[in-house]
Amino acid sequence: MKKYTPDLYNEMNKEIKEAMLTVRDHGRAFVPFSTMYGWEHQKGTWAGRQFNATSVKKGIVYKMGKTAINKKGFRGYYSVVNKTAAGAIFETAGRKNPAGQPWAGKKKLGNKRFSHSSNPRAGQQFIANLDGVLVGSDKQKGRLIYRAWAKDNSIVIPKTLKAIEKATIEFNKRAKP
Amino acid sequence: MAQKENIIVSVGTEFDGKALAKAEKKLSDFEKTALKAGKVFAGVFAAQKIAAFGKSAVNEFIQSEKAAKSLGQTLTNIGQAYKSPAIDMYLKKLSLQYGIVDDELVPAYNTLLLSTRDTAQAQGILQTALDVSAGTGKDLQSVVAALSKAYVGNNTALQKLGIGLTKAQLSGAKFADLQKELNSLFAGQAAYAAQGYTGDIQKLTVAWDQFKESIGEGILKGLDTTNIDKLTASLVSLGNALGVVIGGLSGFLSYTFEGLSHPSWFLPKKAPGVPDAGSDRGGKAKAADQRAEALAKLQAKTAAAQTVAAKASTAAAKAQLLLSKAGSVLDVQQAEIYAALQNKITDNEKLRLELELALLTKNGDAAYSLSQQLLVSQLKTTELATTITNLPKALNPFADWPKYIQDLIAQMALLQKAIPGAPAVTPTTTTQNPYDAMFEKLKQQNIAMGIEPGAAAGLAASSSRLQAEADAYFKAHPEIDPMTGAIRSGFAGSAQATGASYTFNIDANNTIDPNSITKAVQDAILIINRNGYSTVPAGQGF
Repeated sequence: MKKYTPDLYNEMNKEIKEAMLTVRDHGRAFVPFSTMYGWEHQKGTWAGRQFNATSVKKGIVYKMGKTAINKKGFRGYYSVVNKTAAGAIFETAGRKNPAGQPWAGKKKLGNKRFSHSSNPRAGQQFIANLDGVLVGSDKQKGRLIYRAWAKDNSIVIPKTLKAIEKATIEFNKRAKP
Repeated sequence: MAQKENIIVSVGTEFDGKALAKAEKKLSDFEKTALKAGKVFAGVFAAQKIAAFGKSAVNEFIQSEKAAKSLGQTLTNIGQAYKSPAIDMYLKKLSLQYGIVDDELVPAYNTLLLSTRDTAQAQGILQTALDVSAGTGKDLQSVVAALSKAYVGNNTALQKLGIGLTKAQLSGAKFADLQKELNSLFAGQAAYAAQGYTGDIQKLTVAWDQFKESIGEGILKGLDTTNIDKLTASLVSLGNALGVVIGGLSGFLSYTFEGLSHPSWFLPKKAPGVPDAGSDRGGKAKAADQRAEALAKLQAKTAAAQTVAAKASTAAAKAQLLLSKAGSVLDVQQAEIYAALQNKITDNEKLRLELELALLTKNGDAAYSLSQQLLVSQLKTTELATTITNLPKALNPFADWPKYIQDLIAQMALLQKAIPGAPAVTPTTTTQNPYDAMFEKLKQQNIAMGIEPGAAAGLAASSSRLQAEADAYFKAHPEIDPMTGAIRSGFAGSAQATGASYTFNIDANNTIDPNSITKAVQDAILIINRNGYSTVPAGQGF
């Protein structure tokens, strides 16, 4: 379609983009203005992951094009991505361990499955202090874009399908001799 | 710091089998499930094959079910629904016996049943049809259609079938007689065809077909009890479900088809994988998308092929043009003509060359024009040659020289007469030069020796001249013996001393050497010129 009917292709992409931008905007809207002071003022190892509401919002973007193939063998074409590290943490923290990772203290260093904080309840406190709700199921559960997706998918999917169907019908019309 | 983009929601997803294959290699969840479910088949079927097989099986079952339902409805309509299980069993048995898939048998039986309204009679005609089909090689559907028409009195189709029944036989005969005739003609053909390797393969095909139908039935029954959207959302899910099914059927090959009658075996025991958000949107929509995508791909492929073909054609035409140009550049004749045109040539030659070039390059207009010009030029040239030929002979400025010389000699003779004691000078007479004969003779000898005529003449002239000089010398010095080169007796150094008078014998032929005279005249003219004197006597002129 891109090759033979670029106008249809562009029109379809435009319509899908419009639908997906809703998810992006709602995802951005779920980003809090501020969160824990410590996270916003990190230095050293966590300097690159410190939370900045503006950066996190900017990091939620709409993207068109093939994504990487997931473990189930699927790849997406029209996506909303949460790009920043802080955004990803905010999105998924507590998804696997709602009460934080099991505490191991300073032992077993390097093992990411355990909390090595001096505070045994650090993970739990961190999750509790996050201003957001995990919405969705399994790996589709999150506080930002997954939450937005859970909210909007019932609108976005029909719009997307409609755009695709419309383009397909038009393409077939033109393809007929 | 940007990290790997794994926090993502997507719409418009597609399944990528390659990724699944990779995932399989990495012992993903899918492979674990498949291995756990059916070790026998997991090694045989790749994930995609499983998915394709599953689809095929479902299709087989749907077609089979459609035909069976149609037959069941026919039986119901004619009030013989109670016979349905028996007929079903009969058809399955027949299918395996003759190696004919039920997709053919059931519709055929249904057609006959619609004509006869009698199951037993339909079975009899079906048997005949099977024999005729096997005997003639015609497909079962055609034979059944012809027989069903013949049953109701329309024998035309049977005649068209070309099975050895004459028009006369067909025109007045009852169907029962015709069937009897056909049975006698083709008896045992179907059974015979089902024997041997071919028959075995056909039977195996039927068995495989029934096996697939059973799997398809299991899948569809399984779908009734689970979330159909999730199952049809992805081929992974289908493959997964099939893995479970195949696991349950792993003992199939060593047992019987009876095992397939337990649909509970086919039910997936584990929820299938869930694709990304947005791709779980129902079977119909996905199927529509797939169809549209397939159509678009096909059209794109066709268009691409056409584009490629057009490009290839254009490229070939260009190549041909280039070759043609290259050929014209390398054309020897043309090259020669171009080279010749670079030289200094006459207008006529130029015209001729240009005409040749025009003919070589097939430039008709130019060739015609040049040929006309060449004709005109040739005419002009011919006239010029004629004129030159007819020109009067040019005057020879030296023609009178011998006369002058003779006059000069006569004057010298007169002077000699006037001087007392001077030797008499006799004017030379024009006689034949004796050395001419010598020259000719020597020349002929040289030619006879194989010397070129030019060289032979040169040698002969040289020899003649030497001889002439020698003769002149010895004539001037009679005291020298020409044979020995010694001074003759009586001459040795005494002539001047004794003051003896000389006796000169002057040969009229050799008194004065013409060459010497010529040389003397030339020398005289040179001297005159050198000194600035005029060769023209005063008061005279040419």
